[in-house]
Amino acid sequence: MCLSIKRTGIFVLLLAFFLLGYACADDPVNATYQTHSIRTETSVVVYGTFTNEASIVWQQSTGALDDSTSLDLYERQATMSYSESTYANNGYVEYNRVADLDTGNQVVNQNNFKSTRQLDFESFSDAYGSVVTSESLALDTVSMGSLASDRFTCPFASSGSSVIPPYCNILEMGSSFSGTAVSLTSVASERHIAARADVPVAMDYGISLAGQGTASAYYRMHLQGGRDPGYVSPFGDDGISAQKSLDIMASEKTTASGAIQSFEKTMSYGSGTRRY
Amino acid sequence: MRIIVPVSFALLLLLMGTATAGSIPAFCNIMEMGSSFSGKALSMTTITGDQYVGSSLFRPQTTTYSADIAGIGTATSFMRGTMNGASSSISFSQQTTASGTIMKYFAEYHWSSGGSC
Repeated sequence: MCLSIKRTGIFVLLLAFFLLGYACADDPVNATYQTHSIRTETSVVVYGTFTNEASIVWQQSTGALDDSTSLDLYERQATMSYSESTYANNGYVEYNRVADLDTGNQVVNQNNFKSTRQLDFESFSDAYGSVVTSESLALDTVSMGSLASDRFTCPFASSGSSVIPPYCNILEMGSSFSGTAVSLTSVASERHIAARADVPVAMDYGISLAGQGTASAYYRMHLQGGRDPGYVSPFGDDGISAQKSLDIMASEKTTASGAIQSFEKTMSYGSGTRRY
Repeated sequence: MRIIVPVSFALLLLLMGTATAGSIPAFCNIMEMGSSFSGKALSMTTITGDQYVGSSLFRPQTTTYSADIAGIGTATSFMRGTMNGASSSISFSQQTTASGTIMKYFAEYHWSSGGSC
C-alpha cells in the first residue's frame, strides 16, 4: 500500500524562480524619525490542536499619510503586508517561528522584515487529523519621481539622469498547504526602507516541504514605470501627472497533490537604480 | 476530578506624543501582549517588562513579554498593536493557541520604539 502511494505520488518538484526588476526601479522610502522594532519567537510542541494567526500591515510615505488618493510631486509611498495562518487538529504538531520587523533604514544585505517558520504535523492514526497553513507577503510601492542628486551617495549613480522616474509596483509571494502530514519550512523577507536610493528594494520567499496533501506556492506582480519625472500640469487643475513607459504583469503558481516527496520553490525580487 | 487553573496576564502600553516646532514628530502607539491557560496540569513561567520613562530621547521605549508553558489544557498567547505617525502607520497582531498535551509552548514578544539619530 505504501509503495503504491509512492508510485502514484509526486516524487520531486524542484523549482527556482528569480525575478529581477530593472526597468521600474524602486527608490526606497526613507525611515521616519521614530523607528520601531518588533520581534516574536514562537515554539510549540503539542499532541492535540494548534492554531497561529499573524498579520502586519505597514504603510509609510516620504510625505504625510492622509486621505488623499494622489501623491505630491517627489512623494513616495510603500505598503507592506504579511499574513500567516496555521490550523492543525488531532495530531502531533511542532511549530517554530521567528519574525522580525525593523522600520529603520536598511543597507543592501539587511531586511525590514523577515519571518522564518518550521511546521511538522502528523495526524493521529485513530483520528481524522488535518493541517491547513498559508502565508503571504506583499509589497506595494509608488512614487511621483525623485531628484537623483538628492537620493544617491554613489558619485556615479546620478550621472545618467537627473531624476528617478515615477513608478507603481505591486507584487505578492506566498504558499499554502493542506493535508494529513507535513514537514515544512519557509522563509519570507523584504526590504523597502533605506536612507538612499543606492539600496535596492527586495523581496524573497522560499518554501520547502514534504508531506501528504496539497501544496501550492505562487507569485504575482504588476510593475509600471515611466522615463520622465512627474510634473505639475501647466494648466493648473490636473494636479501631478506622470507618463507610463513600461508595464509588466506576471504570475506563476505551482501546485502538487498526493504523497509529496519534495516541494521546493524560491522566488527573489529586486528593484533599484543601483544594483549588483 | 478535573481541576481548572485559569491563568492570564496582559501588558498594555499606550504612548502618545505631540509634535512641537522643529522637534519630534507626533506619534500614537499602542501595544498589548499577554497569555492565558486553562487545564488540569500546568508548569508555567511568564516574564513581563516595559520601559517608557527615559532620561534621553534616544533611549528607546521597550515592551517585552514571554510565556513558557507545559501542561494539559489550552494555552494562548498574543501580541497586537498599532503604531501611527505623520508618515507611517503599522498594525500588527499575532495569536497562538495550543490544546491537548502541551509538551512545549514558548512565546516571546519584543517591541522597541525610539528616535533615530
